[in-house]
Amino acid sequence: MIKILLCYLLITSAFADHHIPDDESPGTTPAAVLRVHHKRGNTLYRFDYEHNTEVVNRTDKRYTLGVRYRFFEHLKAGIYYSKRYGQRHDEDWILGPNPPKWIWIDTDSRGENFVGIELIPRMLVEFLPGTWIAEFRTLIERNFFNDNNTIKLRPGLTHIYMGKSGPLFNLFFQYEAYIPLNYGRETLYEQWLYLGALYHWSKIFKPGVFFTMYEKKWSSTDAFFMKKGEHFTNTEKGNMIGVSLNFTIP
Amino acid sequence: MRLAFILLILFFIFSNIASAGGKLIYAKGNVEVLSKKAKSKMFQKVKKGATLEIGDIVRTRKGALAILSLDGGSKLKLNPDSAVTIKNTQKNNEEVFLNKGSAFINVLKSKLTKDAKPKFNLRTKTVSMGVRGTSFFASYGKQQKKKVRKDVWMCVNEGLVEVQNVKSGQKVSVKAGEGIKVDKGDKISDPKPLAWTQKLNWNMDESKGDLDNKVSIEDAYSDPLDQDYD
Repeated sequence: MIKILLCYLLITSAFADHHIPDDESPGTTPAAVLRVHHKRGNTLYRFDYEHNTEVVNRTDKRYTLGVRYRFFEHLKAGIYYSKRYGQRHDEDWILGPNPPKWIWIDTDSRGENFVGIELIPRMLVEFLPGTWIAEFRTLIERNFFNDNNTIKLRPGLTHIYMGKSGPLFNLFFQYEAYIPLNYGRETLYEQWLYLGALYHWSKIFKPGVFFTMYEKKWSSTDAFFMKKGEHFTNTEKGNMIGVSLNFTIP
Repeated sequence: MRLAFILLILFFIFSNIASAGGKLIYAKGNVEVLSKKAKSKMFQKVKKGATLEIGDIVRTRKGALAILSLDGGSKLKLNPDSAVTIKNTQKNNEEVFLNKGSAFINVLKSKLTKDAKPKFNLRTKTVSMGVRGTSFFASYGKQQKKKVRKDVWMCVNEGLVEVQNVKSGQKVSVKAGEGIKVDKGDKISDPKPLAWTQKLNWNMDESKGDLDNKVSIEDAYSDPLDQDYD
């Protein structure tokens, strides 16, 4: 009886000891983006759908509706609403009931509402040959599911290669940093690096491809600390290869 | 009596020469003329072959196209929703005023000395374009704000065009393959190749193919800073 009890304690403690999530590196996963834009004067109306497969068994799906206005030649500002599924947060690392082990909640079917505002200053980089545009996009976003507020900073550089009758293709490079305002234990919660190209098939349709490298930090919550008496931070790193389909409705 | 008869003949000849303008050699859609001599002061629809006189205003409606052959030898293709006034059609001294829209101009080639004055002048409300060559395109652009003049665009297919701001006197010479923009009808930009002009339809000969120009002046306003790709 004692042996059985000792074996049981050994087994359950082995499971319970695995309370810190493993660093995950899912390799290179696929992504796809659909964008539909309509412009009227200085106002842009947009709809985006993004489909990203990150770690195994988690799909990030985002539906975004937004509007942007060009206030000055070099400045646009916008507001957007986004419904997202498959998001992961620090508090999704829980002790499951049966078997009692620490797991990440499956959030693929959990919808979360986001609202954000964005500021987009842009300028032509005239000392470079050809057409180069530098941009520093700043977004402030609120997740109404868990009241998380995030600042996203995204500097970027785009080269537009001009053909005989107008733009032929774009090459772009962007870096994006997520700074949590009221959650997490790290200053930089996520970092993304984008490299991509866009082909000007027509005024209405522009297909593109992109490669992304990302890094995310998952930190222990106060609830975890109360249970386990320790903090952790672990890292998820990955790459994505994606295609984008961009439509501009005249 | 004989003298009076001769004077009458001379008067007839000179009055015809003075008022002779040109001919409408192609018309598609609704092409109208406001004749300077007409009492009614209303635009009248005209057909191919109609005679034009100095002072006449030729207008095309939406979807229409007109090609004018001026007595001085030059040809002018008037795009849809455009209008010109024929000011002078003497050889080596032709002048047309662009009232509205856009037009292709093909000037008759002739031997010119180095200091020859332009033989064809296209005027707008703010600039005068003197042509020393063969063909160019001019168009009114957008009126960017109320109470501000419209932009004027011009590009040269062959030859040389000298553009002068009638108010400031600023002069710019534009070579073949280059174009300029007169911003709000005021400052003339430096000449440079304009991508949007590559697909302009310069053809004025019906027998050689399609005459319609499908390039819109809106294409000139494609602004890279305004494009959103994400």
